[in-house]
Amino acid sequence: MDIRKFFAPSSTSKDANKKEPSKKTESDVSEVKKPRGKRQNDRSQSKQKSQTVAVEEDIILKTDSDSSMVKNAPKKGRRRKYGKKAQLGSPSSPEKRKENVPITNVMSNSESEDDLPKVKKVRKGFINSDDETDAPTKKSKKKEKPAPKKIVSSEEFFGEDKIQIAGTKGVKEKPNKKKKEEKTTIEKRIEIDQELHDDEDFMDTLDKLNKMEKEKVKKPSPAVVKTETKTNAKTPSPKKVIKVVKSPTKAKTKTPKKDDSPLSISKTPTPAKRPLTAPKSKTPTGESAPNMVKTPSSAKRNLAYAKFKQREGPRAVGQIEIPEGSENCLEGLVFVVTGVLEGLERDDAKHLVERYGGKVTTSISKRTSYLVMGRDPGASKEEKARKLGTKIITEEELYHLIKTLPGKKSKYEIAAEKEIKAEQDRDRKRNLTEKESTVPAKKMRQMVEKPVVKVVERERAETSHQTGANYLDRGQLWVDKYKPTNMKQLIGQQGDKSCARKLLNWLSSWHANRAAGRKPIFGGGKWADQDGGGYRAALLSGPPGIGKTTMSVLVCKELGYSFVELNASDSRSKKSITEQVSELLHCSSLSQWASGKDNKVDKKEHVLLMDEVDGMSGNEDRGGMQQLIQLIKTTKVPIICMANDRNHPKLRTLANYCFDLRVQRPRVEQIKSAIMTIAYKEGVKIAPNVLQDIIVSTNQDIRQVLHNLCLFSAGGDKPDEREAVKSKKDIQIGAFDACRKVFDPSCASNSIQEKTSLFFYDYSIAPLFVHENYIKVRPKDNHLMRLAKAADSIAIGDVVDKKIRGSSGSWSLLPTQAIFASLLPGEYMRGYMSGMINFPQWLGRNSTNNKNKRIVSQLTGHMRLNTSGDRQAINQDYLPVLRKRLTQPLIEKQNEGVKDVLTILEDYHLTREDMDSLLEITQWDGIDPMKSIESKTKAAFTRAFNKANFVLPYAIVTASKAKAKRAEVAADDDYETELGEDNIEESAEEDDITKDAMIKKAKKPSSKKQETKKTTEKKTTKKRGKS
Amino acid sequence: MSLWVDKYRPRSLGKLDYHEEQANMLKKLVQSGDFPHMLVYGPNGAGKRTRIMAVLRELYGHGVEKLRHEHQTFTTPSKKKLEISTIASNYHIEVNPSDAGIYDRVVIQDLIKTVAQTNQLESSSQREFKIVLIMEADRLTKDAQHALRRTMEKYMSTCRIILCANTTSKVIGAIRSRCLAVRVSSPTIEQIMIILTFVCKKEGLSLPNELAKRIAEYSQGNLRKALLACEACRVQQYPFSDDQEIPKADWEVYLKETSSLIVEEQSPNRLLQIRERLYELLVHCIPPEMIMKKLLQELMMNCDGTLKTGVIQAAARFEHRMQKGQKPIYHLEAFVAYFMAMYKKFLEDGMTADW
Repeated sequence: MDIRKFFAPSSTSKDANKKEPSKKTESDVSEVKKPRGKRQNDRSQSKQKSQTVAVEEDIILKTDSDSSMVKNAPKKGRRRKYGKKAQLGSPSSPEKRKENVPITNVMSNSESEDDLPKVKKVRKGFINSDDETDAPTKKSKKKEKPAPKKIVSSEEFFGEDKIQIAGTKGVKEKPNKKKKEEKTTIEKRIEIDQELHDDEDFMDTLDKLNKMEKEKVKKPSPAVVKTETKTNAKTPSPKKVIKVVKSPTKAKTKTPKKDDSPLSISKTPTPAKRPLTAPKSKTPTGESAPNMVKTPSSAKRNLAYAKFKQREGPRAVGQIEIPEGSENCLEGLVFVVTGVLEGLERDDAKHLVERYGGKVTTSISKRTSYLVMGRDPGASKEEKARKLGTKIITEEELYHLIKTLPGKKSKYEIAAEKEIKAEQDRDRKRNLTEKESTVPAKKMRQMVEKPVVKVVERERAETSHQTGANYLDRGQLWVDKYKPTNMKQLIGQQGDKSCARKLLNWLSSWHANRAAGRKPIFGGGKWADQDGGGYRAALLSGPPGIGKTTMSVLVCKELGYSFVELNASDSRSKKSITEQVSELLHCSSLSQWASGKDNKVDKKEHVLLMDEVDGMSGNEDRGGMQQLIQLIKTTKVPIICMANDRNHPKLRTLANYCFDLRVQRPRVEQIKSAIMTIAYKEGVKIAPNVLQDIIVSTNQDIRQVLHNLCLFSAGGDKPDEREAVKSKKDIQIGAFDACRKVFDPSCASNSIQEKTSLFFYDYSIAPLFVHENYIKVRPKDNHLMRLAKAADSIAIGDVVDKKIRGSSGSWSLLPTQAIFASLLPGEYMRGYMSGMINFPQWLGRNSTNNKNKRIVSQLTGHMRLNTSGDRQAINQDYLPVLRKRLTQPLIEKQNEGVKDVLTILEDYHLTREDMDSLLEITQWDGIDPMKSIESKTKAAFTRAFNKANFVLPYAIVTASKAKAKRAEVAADDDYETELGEDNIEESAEEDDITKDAMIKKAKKPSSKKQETKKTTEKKTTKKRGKS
Repeated sequence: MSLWVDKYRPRSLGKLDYHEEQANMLKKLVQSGDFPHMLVYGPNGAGKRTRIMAVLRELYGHGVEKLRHEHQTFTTPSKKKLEISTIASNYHIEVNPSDAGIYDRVVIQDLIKTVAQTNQLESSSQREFKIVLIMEADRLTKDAQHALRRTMEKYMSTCRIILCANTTSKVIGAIRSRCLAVRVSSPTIEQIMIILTFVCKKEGLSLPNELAKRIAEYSQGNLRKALLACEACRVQQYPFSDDQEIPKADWEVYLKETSSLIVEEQSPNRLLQIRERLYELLVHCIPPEMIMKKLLQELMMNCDGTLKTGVIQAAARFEHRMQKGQKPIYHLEAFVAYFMAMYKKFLEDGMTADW
């Protein structure tokens, strides 16, 4: 099916251009404007006139195409050009086709016209016989069957005539085919190529011929086709003919040999599918069904999977003309795409459908209206579609649908209209009743308000929706205009478990909980109270623009609380909070009482809204956070805090005292429907898919979407996709996502600019991420070679890094580093990433390395008096030996070994910590010899060590640190720790004196190399005397 | 009960076991009264420091062996405090500026100036100069080396500098030309064997010639390593036997395992595994150059002659880059990845050829 498919779409689009080459005369162009009846007459005349011209042209172009077989690249370009031209002049209406008379004319034209090419080339002649179908036939020579697609188109334009030709073609092709079977596949392929070129050339010529044709003919709607077939009683309906032709070829193609070559395999299913896809076909679907059912044997499935892996992308992207349909023509239809569409990438297809209001899902359900089947479709999808009775259509049929279906009103518009109507009614009623009561309330409040603290109370009347006409009068931002006025209008907060609902519950039961004395449960976990009843404050967190503030305001309103809002524009230092807020919170408001709405003075009327708490910082707000926490501990009114980044260190403490509510971004669809309504009210026409792009590009920021929309509407243009791209919010993606994108196959076609920008999200850590994760990517082939190349490039990147960060500081090399450290590895490895992105372990390893270096330095320093050699020598040569000498005696001789170990320690002036760190850095594969020492021995050793009380020739630099560490270690071992510490301190003191020794000049030799042991005693006494 | 390597270290120029001629020369140099700056270089375990200490002893007598630890604090221009421990006698001070990392220039400037600016008090009975012994001179940053060159001339009257380095290639020419370069080359196998036998005799042990030879060969001219290995052998098994296994350092074993893992399988997963191991080695402060060298040695043993040139070339390339770059793991890993790809390709080509 593949190849045919491939060409089929092109043929359809082509036939749009091509239809009846003869109609190319200029007179036709003008005809478009003429009334229909007249036009038809004109048409038939002009056709005959133009016939001769067309034939001549045809010949000329043919020769041209022959010569161009060698180099076809330029030709393609040409062809495209023609296609465009044709498009320009094709605003024809489908009705034209309805009459049969012109059709027959056309048929005769085409036939006679075709004779000439036939003379030139036998094969081509064939194809020419139905001009617009030429491309498919060529293919089909290889592929055998007459391309069904062709027929679809031909049937549309020419009815039966074409079909007959197709039938003959099919017959003639069979012998060809058999011959070919004998050839090797390679030969076949070459042939295909040649044919391809032929086709293209040929199509060029046809294009030229048919350029103008399109204007006249638009595809008839299916209904039209039907009438055609009925009227032509003699000739079988086009589709029938197809079937007849097909079935014999099918039988032939099904030889086992064929199955081996992917091309032929792909072919075989086509005939089966065909009948299904053509809804009007009379052949029983049962015929084809068995074929499909048989296939999923395991072997075949594997084969299918192999095929799936190898399948090519669309082959005719950009060559097929994508039709323009009327607005929202696919509204309410659900599509599933399977297989490869020739003219569109999958994403583009989705886009296309969405543009017309349709929906694309990934799996078939009862609600699916169409299954669009491309080349190499998924077997299971097909089967399921059949089971559920879903209509199966081909790519061209999809285009056809788009072209022909009438435009509808978007569901959003309908919803919006309804809503507005309802509101108008409501407003009318409310305006009557409410007006008098609000005025005194406002006045009262102004008197109560303090100057610094804003008491914000938004009256319903102020912000409530007004009818469409009123909106334009007020210079308000849309964001304010359409601010939700009740909880039902909150986007994405309708569920029972939504944050708004939780907040509402929490707030409503707040006073009850206080009265009941519920205490917060700290520490969270599964014991944390789900409704937050124990907390006196709530913390709303989430990204900007999703309605946190609005939500809390509405919740308060819903419960009839008034609120005091403090945000970043207020000074929120400790002092101001104490003075103003606490005062305010501990008293009750008069406003409601005074307004006369409510006659009881109620303590629960206040809520404190602390907006943007993560912005509390700097000198201005000094101590504010602490004060806020204090406030929360004792507050008599609920407090709602709001923040963007829940994990911000500043919020860590605060979060402990708050009911933690994390507001998630609403889903795209949720925002979409709400915004569509607004757009409708504002009279902005926006396609759903464009809106979707805008929403996605702003990262689901409702506020931003509204602003963008507002901007578009101000510009007066209808926003299209390009605008959506422009509206792209600069989204900071994390290092993890950036790293994933580096290797993401779907980003392969991004520009270098975009690829390097991944590096610049965080250029200090990006190389580390790439290095950490590149090995886990599975490129499509040649894995090791690619790994080596990527590693090589990363290594060069490191050299560049040194140049940048080293003494030369060549920061201008950053882009170079981006290429080597991120872009190239990405290019080499590009593929599926198995597993998650890891955080670079280099950082951890590096700090361990530094720690170990420090230890080695320290050990080297301590041992220096008695050893030679630098750090490396100590680390590589001494330490492994010392390790054995320090542990083996204890393991083998137990308590007897203690003395040996102590002498070693003493000779090399090592402390107990040194010993521990020595054992630590010489440890490989996690084998810890200390574990094999009996704890009894260990204790004995520690005791002995403490008692031995060595005099060290150096000061213990980090005495306090060492002490703490030591306490830790020794605590397990025995109770003599205290004594040990004292001793250490003592010796440290002594060493302090030796530290000054240089100045004094009279020195205390700590050891003479060979006589260390003997001198120890003396030294000790000497030192003691001195101090 | 120090390790033998420390216990039997010669203390004076006369007692040195090899390069006696050089020792004599040094002796004469000292006796002549004047003394130049010196740059002592040679491989690990050749006895550089031993020789330097012997020279100092020749210069100042026993007093130089009375060593003490000192902690000195330096403040960098950016107000960072550095603690450096030095070892000093009355007559000399030994410092390892590379402890200070990139701030070694500050150490060089401050320390040497303070030392050099003080004159010896009893110049009549003593030499009129003190000695500053700079260890690991080849690890000094270029800045520090440049800071050194002027100081060396300016304070020539009060202070001499002895630089101790593994290689002169990383010491700038200006310094090399100001110093008397003394190369201490590794002892030969025979010399090591003699020393080993001598030490064992002193310890009252008898060391079979065969084992001595094997230890010497294992040590690759590193006398320190030879002595430590010999002592390890003693701990492991006594009396010695000829075919006794020489205990290797853990990291050597680990490195060897790593290279055999590479040869065993070439796959992305294995590469990940190798990366883990390379990290492990690096974290244990095994110098990357050493890892690269040992890896190459092991891999060479396992690969076909036709591959060798390519692999060595690659190793050289990556090693060079490693010096130029700053994250050794990248380069080691790149080398391993390269080797794996080459090796796998070679194996696969070989397979198809066999068919």
